[in-house]
Amino acid sequence: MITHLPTNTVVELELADGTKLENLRTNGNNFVSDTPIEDSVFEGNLSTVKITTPEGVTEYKDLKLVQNRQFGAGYMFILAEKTPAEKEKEELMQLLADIAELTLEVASDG
Amino acid sequence: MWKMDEAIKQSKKYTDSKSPYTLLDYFINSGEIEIAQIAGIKNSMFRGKNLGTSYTSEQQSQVASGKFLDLWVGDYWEVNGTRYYISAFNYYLDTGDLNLTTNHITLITGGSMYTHRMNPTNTTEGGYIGSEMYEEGLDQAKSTIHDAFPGSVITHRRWLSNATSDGAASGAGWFDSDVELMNEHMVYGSNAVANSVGQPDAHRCNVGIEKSQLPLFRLRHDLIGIRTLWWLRDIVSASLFAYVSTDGVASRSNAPSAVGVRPVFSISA
Repeated sequence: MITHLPTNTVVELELADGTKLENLRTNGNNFVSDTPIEDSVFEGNLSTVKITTPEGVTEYKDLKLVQNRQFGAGYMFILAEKTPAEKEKEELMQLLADIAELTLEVASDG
Repeated sequence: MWKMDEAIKQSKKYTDSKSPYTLLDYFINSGEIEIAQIAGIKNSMFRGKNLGTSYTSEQQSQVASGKFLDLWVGDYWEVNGTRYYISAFNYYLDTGDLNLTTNHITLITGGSMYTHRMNPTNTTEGGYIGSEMYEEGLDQAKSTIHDAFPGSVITHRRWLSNATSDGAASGAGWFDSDVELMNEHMVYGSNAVANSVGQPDAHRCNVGIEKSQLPLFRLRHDLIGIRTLWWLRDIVSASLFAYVSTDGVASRSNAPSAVGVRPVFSISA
Protein backbone atom coordinates (compact mmCIF):
# COMPACT_ATOMS: atom_id res chain seq x y z
CA MET A 1 0.00 0.00 0.00
CA ILE A 2 1.13 3.48 -0.72
CA THR A 3 1.78 4.99 2.65
CA HIS A 4 2.46 8.42 4.08
CA LEU A 5 0.13 10.24 1.72
CA PRO A 6 -1.04 13.46 3.34
CA THR A 7 -4.80 13.48 3.78
CA ASN A 8 -7.11 15.86 1.93
CA THR A 9 -4.29 17.22 -0.19
CA VAL A 10 -4.15 18.02 -3.90
CA VAL A 11 -1.69 15.75 -5.67
CA GLU A 12 -0.58 14.89 -9.20
CA LEU A 13 0.19 11.46 -10.60
CA GLU A 14 2.46 10.74 -13.54
CA LEU A 15 2.06 7.24 -14.96
CA ALA A 16 4.69 5.15 -16.71
CA ASP A 17 3.88 6.49 -20.21
CA GLY A 18 4.01 10.09 -19.01
CA THR A 19 0.24 10.52 -18.63
CA LYS A 20 -0.44 13.09 -15.93
CA LEU A 21 -3.50 12.94 -13.69
CA GLU A 22 -3.86 16.36 -12.11
CA ASN A 23 -6.01 17.97 -9.44
CA LEU A 24 -6.55 14.75 -7.54
CA ARG A 25 -7.35 14.87 -3.83
CA THR A 26 -6.26 12.29 -1.31
CA ASN A 27 -8.77 10.66 1.02
CA GLY A 28 -7.42 7.76 3.06
CA ASN A 29 -5.61 5.60 0.52
CA ASN A 30 -7.97 6.80 -2.23
CA PHE A 31 -7.30 9.35 -4.94
CA VAL A 32 -10.40 11.39 -5.71
CA SER A 33 -11.13 12.91 -9.10
CA ASP A 34 -14.01 15.19 -10.08
CA THR A 35 -14.20 13.42 -13.43
CA PRO A 36 -14.19 9.69 -14.25
CA ILE A 37 -10.90 8.09 -15.26
CA GLU A 38 -11.18 4.95 -17.37
CA ASP A 39 -9.50 1.75 -16.16
CA SER A 40 -7.70 1.65 -19.50
CA VAL A 41 -5.63 4.68 -18.44
CA PHE A 42 -3.99 2.51 -15.79
CA GLU A 43 -3.67 -0.77 -17.75
CA GLY A 44 -0.01 -1.64 -18.33
CA ASN A 45 0.87 1.83 -17.14
CA LEU A 46 1.71 1.37 -13.48
CA SER A 47 5.24 0.00 -13.62
CA THR A 48 6.41 3.45 -12.55
CA VAL A 49 4.21 6.08 -10.92
CA LYS A 50 5.39 9.45 -9.67
CA ILE A 51 3.25 11.10 -7.03
CA THR A 52 3.74 14.80 -6.51
CA THR A 53 2.55 16.20 -3.17
CA PRO A 54 3.27 19.60 -1.58
CA GLU A 55 6.17 17.86 0.17
CA GLY A 56 7.80 16.63 -3.03
CA VAL A 57 7.86 13.83 -5.58
CA THR A 58 7.94 10.14 -4.70
CA GLU A 59 8.41 7.43 -7.29
CA TYR A 60 6.74 4.05 -6.86
CA LYS A 61 7.42 0.85 -8.80
CA ASP A 62 5.11 -2.01 -9.77
CA LEU A 63 1.77 -0.67 -8.62
CA LYS A 64 -1.65 -2.19 -9.26
CA LEU A 65 -5.12 -0.72 -9.54
CA VAL A 66 -7.13 -1.99 -6.56
CA GLN A 67 -10.38 -0.25 -7.39
CA ASN A 68 -11.77 2.53 -9.57
CA ARG A 69 -15.40 3.52 -9.01
CA GLN A 70 -17.78 6.33 -8.26
CA PHE A 71 -18.80 7.12 -4.68
CA GLY A 72 -21.33 9.92 -4.40
CA ALA A 73 -20.19 12.86 -6.48
CA GLY A 74 -16.54 11.77 -6.60
CA TYR A 75 -14.59 9.23 -8.57
CA MET A 76 -12.21 7.34 -6.32
CA PHE A 77 -9.39 5.00 -7.23
CA ILE A 78 -6.83 3.15 -5.17
CA LEU A 79 -3.31 2.16 -6.18
CA ALA A 80 -1.21 -0.28 -4.18
CA GLU A 81 2.19 -1.85 -4.45
CA LYS A 82 2.19 -5.42 -5.69
CA THR A 83 3.18 -7.98 -3.09
CA PRO A 84 6.21 -10.25 -3.73
CA ALA A 85 3.77 -13.17 -4.15
CA GLU A 86 1.81 -11.26 -6.78
CA LYS A 87 4.99 -10.41 -8.67
CA GLU A 88 6.12 -14.04 -8.53
CA LYS A 89 2.72 -15.18 -9.83
CA GLU A 90 2.87 -12.68 -12.68
CA GLU A 91 6.35 -13.85 -13.66
CA LEU A 92 5.16 -17.46 -13.57
CA MET A 93 2.12 -16.66 -15.70
CA GLN A 94 4.35 -14.86 -18.22
CA LEU A 95 6.70 -17.82 -18.31
CA LEU A 96 3.80 -20.20 -18.96
CA ALA A 97 2.53 -17.94 -21.74
CA ASP A 98 5.99 -17.86 -23.31
CA ILE A 99 6.24 -21.66 -23.16
CA ALA A 100 2.77 -22.04 -24.69
CA GLU A 101 3.70 -19.66 -27.50
CA LEU A 102 6.96 -21.49 -28.13
CA THR A 103 5.15 -24.83 -28.16
CA LEU A 104 2.67 -23.55 -30.73
CA GLU A 105 5.50 -22.22 -32.89
CA VAL A 106 7.35 -25.54 -32.75
CA ALA A 107 4.16 -27.44 -33.56
CA SER A 108 3.36 -25.22 -36.52
CA ASP A 109 6.95 -25.53 -37.85
CA GLY A 110 6.72 -29.32 -37.58
CA MET B 1 -10.79 23.27 48.01
CA TRP B 2 -13.82 21.17 47.32
CA LYS B 3 -14.28 18.26 49.75
CA MET B 4 -16.19 15.02 49.44
CA ASP B 5 -17.89 15.60 52.80
CA GLU B 6 -19.22 18.87 51.42
CA ALA B 7 -20.62 16.94 48.48
CA ILE B 8 -22.31 14.50 50.82
CA LYS B 9 -23.73 17.38 52.80
CA GLN B 10 -25.05 19.03 49.67
CA SER B 11 -26.41 15.81 48.28
CA LYS B 12 -28.56 15.31 51.37
CA LYS B 13 -30.76 18.04 50.03
CA TYR B 14 -31.89 15.53 47.47
CA THR B 15 -34.14 12.58 48.01
CA ASP B 16 -31.59 10.24 46.47
CA SER B 17 -28.83 11.50 48.72
CA LYS B 18 -27.20 8.08 48.98
CA SER B 19 -26.75 7.77 45.25
CA PRO B 20 -23.09 7.68 44.21
CA TYR B 21 -24.19 9.16 40.89
CA THR B 22 -25.50 12.27 42.61
CA LEU B 23 -22.29 12.61 44.60
CA LEU B 24 -20.20 12.30 41.47
CA ASP B 25 -22.36 14.82 39.65
CA TYR B 26 -21.77 17.24 42.51
CA PHE B 27 -18.05 16.66 42.26
CA ILE B 28 -18.18 17.18 38.49
CA ASN B 29 -20.18 20.37 38.90
CA SER B 30 -17.85 21.71 41.59
CA GLY B 31 -15.37 22.93 39.01
CA GLU B 32 -12.52 21.07 40.69
CA ILE B 33 -11.73 19.14 37.53
CA GLU B 34 -11.41 20.25 33.94
CA ILE B 35 -14.35 19.69 31.60
CA ALA B 36 -12.16 17.40 29.50
CA GLN B 37 -11.79 14.99 32.46
CA ILE B 38 -15.51 14.48 32.93
CA ALA B 39 -16.01 11.94 30.13
CA GLY B 40 -13.53 9.70 31.91
CA ILE B 41 -15.78 9.56 34.96
CA LYS B 42 -18.95 9.21 32.94
CA ASN B 43 -17.58 6.34 30.84
CA SER B 44 -16.65 4.38 33.95
CA MET B 45 -20.01 3.79 35.64
CA PHE B 46 -23.20 2.09 34.52
CA ARG B 47 -26.56 3.32 35.79
CA GLY B 48 -29.39 2.13 33.54
CA LYS B 49 -32.01 4.74 34.35
CA ASN B 50 -35.03 5.46 32.15
CA LEU B 51 -34.61 9.07 30.99
CA GLY B 52 -38.10 9.35 29.54
CA THR B 53 -39.54 9.59 26.08
CA SER B 54 -37.72 12.64 24.76
CA TYR B 55 -34.32 14.30 24.81
CA THR B 56 -35.08 17.37 26.89
CA SER B 57 -33.59 20.82 26.52
CA GLU B 58 -31.92 20.43 29.93
CA GLN B 59 -30.30 17.16 28.81
CA GLN B 60 -29.19 18.84 25.59
CA SER B 61 -27.57 21.63 27.59
CA GLN B 62 -25.75 19.11 29.77
CA VAL B 63 -24.34 17.33 26.72
CA ALA B 64 -23.33 20.53 24.97
CA SER B 65 -21.52 21.76 28.09
CA GLY B 66 -19.57 18.52 28.46
CA LYS B 67 -20.68 18.15 32.08
CA PHE B 68 -23.25 15.43 31.30
CA LEU B 69 -24.95 15.88 34.68
CA ASP B 70 -27.60 13.23 35.45
CA LEU B 71 -26.59 11.24 32.38
CA TRP B 72 -24.72 7.92 32.69
CA VAL B 73 -23.78 4.90 30.59
CA GLY B 74 -26.76 2.59 30.30
CA ASP B 75 -29.33 5.33 30.77
CA TYR B 76 -31.87 5.25 28.00
CA TRP B 77 -34.74 6.98 26.27
CA GLU B 78 -37.77 5.06 25.04
CA VAL B 79 -39.03 6.88 21.97
CA ASN B 80 -41.94 5.45 19.98
CA GLY B 81 -41.16 1.96 21.20
CA THR B 82 -37.42 2.05 20.49
CA ARG B 83 -34.91 2.06 23.33
CA TYR B 84 -31.81 4.21 22.84
CA TYR B 85 -28.96 3.47 25.26
CA ILE B 86 -26.20 5.90 26.16
CA SER B 87 -23.16 3.86 25.18
CA ALA B 88 -20.33 6.42 25.52
CA PHE B 89 -19.44 10.01 26.32
CA ASN B 90 -17.26 11.97 23.88
CA TYR B 91 -16.21 8.75 22.13
CA TYR B 92 -15.37 10.60 18.90
CA LEU B 93 -13.96 13.82 20.37
CA ASP B 94 -10.91 15.09 18.47
CA THR B 95 -11.21 12.50 15.68
CA GLY B 96 -11.57 12.89 11.94
CA ASP B 97 -9.72 14.64 9.16
CA LEU B 98 -12.07 17.48 10.09
CA ASN B 99 -11.75 17.56 13.86
CA LEU B 100 -14.89 16.88 15.90
CA THR B 101 -14.82 19.33 18.81
CA THR B 102 -18.48 19.12 19.88
CA ASN B 103 -19.28 17.43 23.18
CA HIS B 104 -21.57 14.51 22.46
CA ILE B 105 -22.99 11.22 23.67
CA THR B 106 -23.08 8.11 21.54
CA LEU B 107 -26.25 6.01 21.43
CA ILE B 108 -27.16 2.55 20.22
CA THR B 109 -30.55 0.92 20.03
CA GLY B 110 -31.53 -1.75 22.52
CA GLY B 111 -32.24 -4.21 19.74
CA SER B 112 -32.37 -4.62 16.00
CA MET B 113 -34.64 -2.01 14.36
CA TYR B 114 -35.40 -4.21 11.31
CA THR B 115 -33.62 -6.63 9.01
CA HIS B 116 -31.84 -5.81 5.78
CA ARG B 117 -29.23 -7.38 3.53
CA MET B 118 -25.74 -5.93 3.11
CA ASN B 119 -25.78 -6.46 -0.65
CA PRO B 120 -28.15 -7.98 -3.24
CA THR B 121 -25.38 -10.32 -4.45
CA ASN B 122 -22.93 -12.37 -2.43
CA THR B 123 -20.06 -9.91 -2.42
CA THR B 124 -18.25 -7.44 -0.20
CA GLU B 125 -16.82 -5.58 -3.20
CA GLY B 126 -16.65 -1.84 -2.53
CA GLY B 127 -16.38 -2.46 1.21
CA TYR B 128 -18.93 -0.98 3.59
CA ILE B 129 -19.23 2.29 1.63
CA GLY B 130 -19.99 0.34 -1.53
CA SER B 131 -22.69 -1.78 0.12
CA GLU B 132 -26.41 -1.53 -0.42
CA MET B 133 -26.70 -1.28 3.35
CA TYR B 134 -24.71 1.97 3.35
CA GLU B 135 -26.37 3.37 0.25
CA GLU B 136 -29.99 2.72 1.21
CA GLY B 137 -30.33 0.02 3.88
CA LEU B 138 -29.84 2.48 6.73
CA ASP B 139 -32.38 5.00 5.43
CA GLN B 140 -35.20 3.66 7.58
CA ALA B 141 -33.02 3.78 10.70
CA LYS B 142 -31.85 7.30 9.88
CA SER B 143 -35.43 8.50 9.48
CA THR B 144 -36.53 6.96 12.79
CA ILE B 145 -33.48 8.28 14.67
CA HIS B 146 -33.69 11.81 13.30
CA ASP B 147 -37.39 11.87 14.22
CA ALA B 148 -36.59 10.70 17.75
CA PHE B 149 -33.77 13.25 18.26
CA PRO B 150 -34.73 16.11 15.94
CA GLY B 151 -31.89 18.47 15.19
CA SER B 152 -29.56 16.76 17.67
CA VAL B 153 -27.92 13.97 15.62
CA ILE B 154 -24.41 15.08 14.72
CA THR B 155 -22.69 14.55 11.39
CA HIS B 156 -18.98 13.98 11.68
CA ARG B 157 -16.18 12.32 9.77
CA ARG B 158 -15.73 8.58 10.02
CA TRP B 159 -13.06 6.38 8.46
CA LEU B 160 -14.92 3.68 6.52
CA SER B 161 -13.83 0.89 4.19
CA ASN B 162 -14.54 1.36 0.49
CA ALA B 163 -12.58 -1.40 -1.26
CA THR B 164 -11.73 -5.06 -0.87
CA SER B 165 -9.07 -7.31 -2.38
CA ASP B 166 -8.73 -11.05 -1.93
CA GLY B 167 -11.40 -11.12 0.73
CA ALA B 168 -10.08 -8.34 2.94
CA ALA B 169 -10.64 -4.63 3.24
CA SER B 170 -8.05 -2.85 1.12
CA GLY B 171 -9.26 0.72 0.92
CA ALA B 172 -10.74 3.31 3.24
CA GLY B 173 -11.34 7.02 3.45
CA TRP B 174 -13.07 9.79 5.35
CA PHE B 175 -16.80 10.22 4.86
CA ASP B 176 -19.49 12.45 6.34
CA SER B 177 -21.43 10.22 8.68
CA ASP B 178 -24.33 10.25 11.10
CA VAL B 179 -25.92 6.81 11.51
CA GLU B 180 -23.81 3.71 10.78
CA LEU B 181 -23.38 0.07 11.63
CA MET B 182 -20.90 -0.62 14.41
CA ASN B 183 -17.60 -2.41 13.89
CA GLU B 184 -16.15 -5.31 15.88
CA HIS B 185 -13.91 -3.15 18.03
CA MET B 186 -16.86 -1.11 19.29
CA VAL B 187 -18.68 -4.26 20.32
CA TYR B 188 -16.07 -6.81 21.39
CA GLY B 189 -13.09 -4.56 22.07
CA SER B 190 -10.98 -6.35 19.48
CA ASN B 191 -10.95 -7.93 16.06
CA ALA B 192 -12.91 -11.21 16.17
CA VAL B 193 -13.80 -12.69 12.77
CA ALA B 194 -12.94 -9.84 10.39
CA ASN B 195 -10.13 -10.59 7.96
CA SER B 196 -7.29 -8.59 9.45
CA VAL B 197 -4.38 -10.18 7.64
CA GLY B 198 -5.43 -10.61 4.00
CA GLN B 199 -4.18 -7.19 2.96
CA PRO B 200 -1.40 -5.02 4.39
CA ASP B 201 -3.85 -2.52 5.89
CA ALA B 202 -7.02 -4.61 6.23
CA HIS B 203 -7.27 -4.06 9.96
CA ARG B 204 -6.93 -0.30 9.69
CA CYS B 205 -9.54 -0.13 6.92
CA ASN B 206 -12.15 -1.92 9.07
CA VAL B 207 -11.39 -0.17 12.33
CA GLY B 208 -10.58 3.46 11.62
CA ILE B 209 -11.37 5.82 14.49
CA GLU B 210 -13.73 3.37 16.22
CA LYS B 211 -10.89 1.44 17.77
CA SER B 212 -12.02 0.81 21.32
CA GLN B 213 -14.99 -0.91 22.92
CA LEU B 214 -18.02 1.21 23.75
CA PRO B 215 -18.24 1.59 27.55
CA LEU B 216 -21.81 0.23 27.47
CA PHE B 217 -20.59 -3.12 26.14
CA ARG B 218 -17.62 -3.14 28.50
CA LEU B 219 -19.95 -2.70 31.47
CA ARG B 220 -22.90 -4.74 30.14
CA HIS B 221 -21.56 -7.66 28.12
CA ASP B 222 -25.05 -9.16 28.00
CA LEU B 223 -26.25 -6.30 25.78
CA ILE B 224 -24.12 -7.71 22.93
CA GLY B 225 -25.87 -11.07 22.63
CA ILE B 226 -29.54 -10.09 22.44
CA ARG B 227 -31.04 -13.29 20.98
CA THR B 228 -31.19 -11.81 17.50
CA LEU B 229 -28.74 -11.42 14.61
CA TRP B 230 -27.30 -7.99 13.94
CA TRP B 231 -24.79 -6.79 11.35
CA LEU B 232 -21.39 -5.28 11.92
CA ARG B 233 -19.61 -3.54 9.06
CA ASP B 234 -16.28 -5.42 9.06
CA ILE B 235 -15.18 -7.31 5.95
CA VAL B 236 -14.63 -11.01 6.66
CA SER B 237 -14.13 -12.38 3.14
CA ALA B 238 -15.09 -11.73 -0.48
CA SER B 239 -18.68 -12.60 0.42
CA LEU B 240 -19.01 -12.31 4.20
CA PHE B 241 -19.60 -9.42 6.58
CA ALA B 242 -19.29 -9.74 10.36
CA TYR B 243 -22.30 -10.01 12.61
CA VAL B 244 -23.36 -10.92 16.15
CA SER B 245 -25.29 -14.16 16.11
CA THR B 246 -28.46 -15.04 18.00
CA ASP B 247 -26.51 -17.13 20.48
CA GLY B 248 -24.01 -14.34 21.12
CA VAL B 249 -21.20 -15.78 19.02
CA ALA B 250 -18.99 -13.37 17.09
CA SER B 251 -19.79 -14.61 13.61
CA ARG B 252 -20.27 -13.70 9.94
CA SER B 253 -22.84 -14.11 7.21
CA ASN B 254 -23.19 -13.89 3.45
CA ALA B 255 -23.89 -10.38 2.18
CA PRO B 256 -27.44 -11.12 0.87
CA SER B 257 -28.64 -12.42 4.27
CA ALA B 258 -31.44 -10.50 5.96
CA VAL B 259 -29.85 -9.65 9.31
CA GLY B 260 -30.70 -7.09 11.96
CA VAL B 261 -29.80 -3.40 11.77
CA ARG B 262 -28.62 -2.05 15.14
CA PRO B 263 -27.01 1.31 14.42
CA VAL B 264 -24.78 3.70 16.30
CA PHE B 265 -25.01 7.48 16.24
CA SER B 266 -24.17 10.49 18.37
CA ILE B 267 -26.18 13.45 19.62
CA SER B 268 -25.38 16.86 21.05
CA ALA B 269 -27.56 19.92 21.61
